[in-house]
Amino acid sequence: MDEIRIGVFGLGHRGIHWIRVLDRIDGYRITAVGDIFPLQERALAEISNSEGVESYSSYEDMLADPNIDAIALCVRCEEQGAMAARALEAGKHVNSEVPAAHTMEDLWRIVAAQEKTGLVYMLAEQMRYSGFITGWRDLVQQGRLGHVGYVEGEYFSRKSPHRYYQDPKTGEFIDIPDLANHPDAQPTWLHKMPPIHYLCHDLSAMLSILDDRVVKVTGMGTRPQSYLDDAIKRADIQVALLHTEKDTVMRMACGWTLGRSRETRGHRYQLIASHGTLETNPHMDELQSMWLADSQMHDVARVDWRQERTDAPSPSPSEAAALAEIKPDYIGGRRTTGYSIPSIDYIVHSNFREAVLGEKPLEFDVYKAMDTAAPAILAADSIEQGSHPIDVPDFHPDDSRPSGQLPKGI
Amino acid sequence: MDEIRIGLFGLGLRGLAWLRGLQRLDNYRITAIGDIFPGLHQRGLDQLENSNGVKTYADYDDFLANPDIDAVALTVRCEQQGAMAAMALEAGKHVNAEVPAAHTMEDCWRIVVATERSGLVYQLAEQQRYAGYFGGWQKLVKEGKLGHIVYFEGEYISYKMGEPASRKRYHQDWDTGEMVASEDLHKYPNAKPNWRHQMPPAHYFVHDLSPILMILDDRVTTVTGMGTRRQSYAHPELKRADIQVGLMKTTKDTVVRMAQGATQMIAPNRDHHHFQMIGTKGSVESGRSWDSPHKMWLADSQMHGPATIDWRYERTDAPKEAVRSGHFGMDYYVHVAFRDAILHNKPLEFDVYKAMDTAAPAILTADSIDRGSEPIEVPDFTPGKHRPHGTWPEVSR
Repeated sequence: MDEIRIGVFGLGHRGIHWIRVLDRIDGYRITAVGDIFPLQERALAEISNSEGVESYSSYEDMLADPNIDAIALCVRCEEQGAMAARALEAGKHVNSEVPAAHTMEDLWRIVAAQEKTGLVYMLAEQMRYSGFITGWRDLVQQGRLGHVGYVEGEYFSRKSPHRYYQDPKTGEFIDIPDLANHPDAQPTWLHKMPPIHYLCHDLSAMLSILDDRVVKVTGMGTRPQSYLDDAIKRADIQVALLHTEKDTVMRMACGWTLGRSRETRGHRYQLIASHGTLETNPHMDELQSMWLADSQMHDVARVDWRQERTDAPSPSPSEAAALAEIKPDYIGGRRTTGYSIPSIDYIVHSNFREAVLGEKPLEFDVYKAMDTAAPAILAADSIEQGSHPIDVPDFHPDDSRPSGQLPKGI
Repeated sequence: MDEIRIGLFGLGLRGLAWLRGLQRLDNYRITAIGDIFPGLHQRGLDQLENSNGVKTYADYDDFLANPDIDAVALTVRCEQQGAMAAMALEAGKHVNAEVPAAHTMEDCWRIVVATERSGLVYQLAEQQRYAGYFGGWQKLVKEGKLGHIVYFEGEYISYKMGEPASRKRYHQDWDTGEMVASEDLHKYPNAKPNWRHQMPPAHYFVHDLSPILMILDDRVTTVTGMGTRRQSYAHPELKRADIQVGLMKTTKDTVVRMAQGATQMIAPNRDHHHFQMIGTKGSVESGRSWDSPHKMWLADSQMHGPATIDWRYERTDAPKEAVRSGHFGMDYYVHVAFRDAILHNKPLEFDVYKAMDTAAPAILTADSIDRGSEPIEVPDFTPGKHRPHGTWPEVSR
């Protein structure tokens, strides 16, 4: 096998972005696209040669297609985790958009299915591949900062109001001010999803730096009704406190209806250790800061670390040229197709490709993926339970849960 | 009464600073000083311009029995700090107490009940709430410029082991009261860890929670906490956590994150206090270092990016008496508010209930950490049907 025949399910803005990337890099051939909404035509239009590419509106039918080796799962729905597990159970490798799942049961189902089948499951979380995360990880793992006592990560922004309602027939997103013209519009999963379920980008990156896992989580949030807009029935912010196996306290927070400027970074991180500190630039026009106690620094060093890597891996020349063509789409000043730092999105697809083709095992394996997803789900559960702390399970197999089996009670 | 005869108990560094400050203000006369360590009395007297007739005490009960003391300035740092404040009120003295107010919930209640029963003034001498920039932030919130405040974070992250004097903060010679650095412990066979060593870092949230609650005009209802092990990683000779973090919920539906740590090594230029407030219509954030400005963004003000604002601890309207009073001039306001409450019946803005609203979440965060991060409800200290004025709540005694 030298080519992965991939089917993309979920043709929203991220799905379209994935199609553009997958269509341009070596080792992938898109053989199918699917969505429960009639969005297939616009997806096919993004593929350089769409001849023979199947279109599906039923996920079951897509999974039954023998010309699909791997599923690119770009849905945003409550059943996302179950859909990933079903793909594995149907014999397909899975590369799944974040977050991995929305229930603990679905996480276990993914783990058990992956173990039983030996197929590749990858959570396509790309922040962990950022240049600065590598820089920070090197410092921590070399012991330059000593013991890390505290880590902060957050995803704060002021998203435009077009993702909260959807036409149930066409899948078209409906702007809140336009709701009166769309009486059939339904709230989307993004609308219902607890914001803290989306801490995956930040937790993934921080756990990769610490080489650690969360053992306990508690959370708090505002009421499940935005103070910004009556039509948004979700909390404006949710915050989690997490404790790791290596005795680091983490504060993670998510909110998308906040009064934060676009010039303030949406993702911000801070790390305070026994012998130094690291912090991302709060605002776009600033640099990151680093202070090392053992380095004769009178003040913090300003470091030009970015999400972009200096050693951006190696798309082939043809891939690089093709990837450079990808630009986000804008309608009325609003970004309407997925956009990420191209170099780190590339790594996600490159790693998946290498794992499926048997060239290299995944660094971000199914267990690490679940270590990222579970604290998010449990933080939301904690909020629902009045902030009661919840232990986070270890997903690795052991005597109590042999490989390939669900734990007792699931 | 046109003068407050004040007795100061606790002759550590803060006590000495208070003695200097009180002498610079009108209407205060220092009539007594005290400390359980007699060896510290002379340095207290040495701070006074005129020590004639000033009595010294090693016994707190004897000190409280002195009829020439109207008010107690309580500058101790010990586990019994709250009980000592209550004892002073019960003995008929007004109290101006250094932070934090107390270290047990029972002591918080005892202060409240004693204040209510006696009608005397109890003030928690938390000065950060008088900082200039909090005045600016408070105005923004009151005017609704930031919308609903959904998140507020404050922290006191310092590193005080780098300075020779500060390295002595955690052990004390039990005969003389002399503070002893860890590396000198072998020379002091009677040195023991002091309360600062044993105190959970979260108990010191007070400087940050006080202004936050003032700005929000709110109180905390639930807390949960997490912290690192009870032995510093940076200084293993210290048996205290490097950091403790509290997550809190208020009555008006704001999530508050507090953090306190004093043993992790941070850049010298890093401001120990940092605040961030996020509303649905805007946000403000203090600078990370002493010389970096604040940032403010208002959604409805045509701002493309956050504005840089020269807000400081110092107030722009500070009278000249404030300027040299300590803590960027903020110490002045604490002593003036206390004086005006006693001499001019001017009600304290930061009354006993607000003081306990600040102290209790800190104590309960540490309790939550001890209980594996269980959430704990924070009581409302104001009297009502559930607790008549001057009586103890059912559960606390």
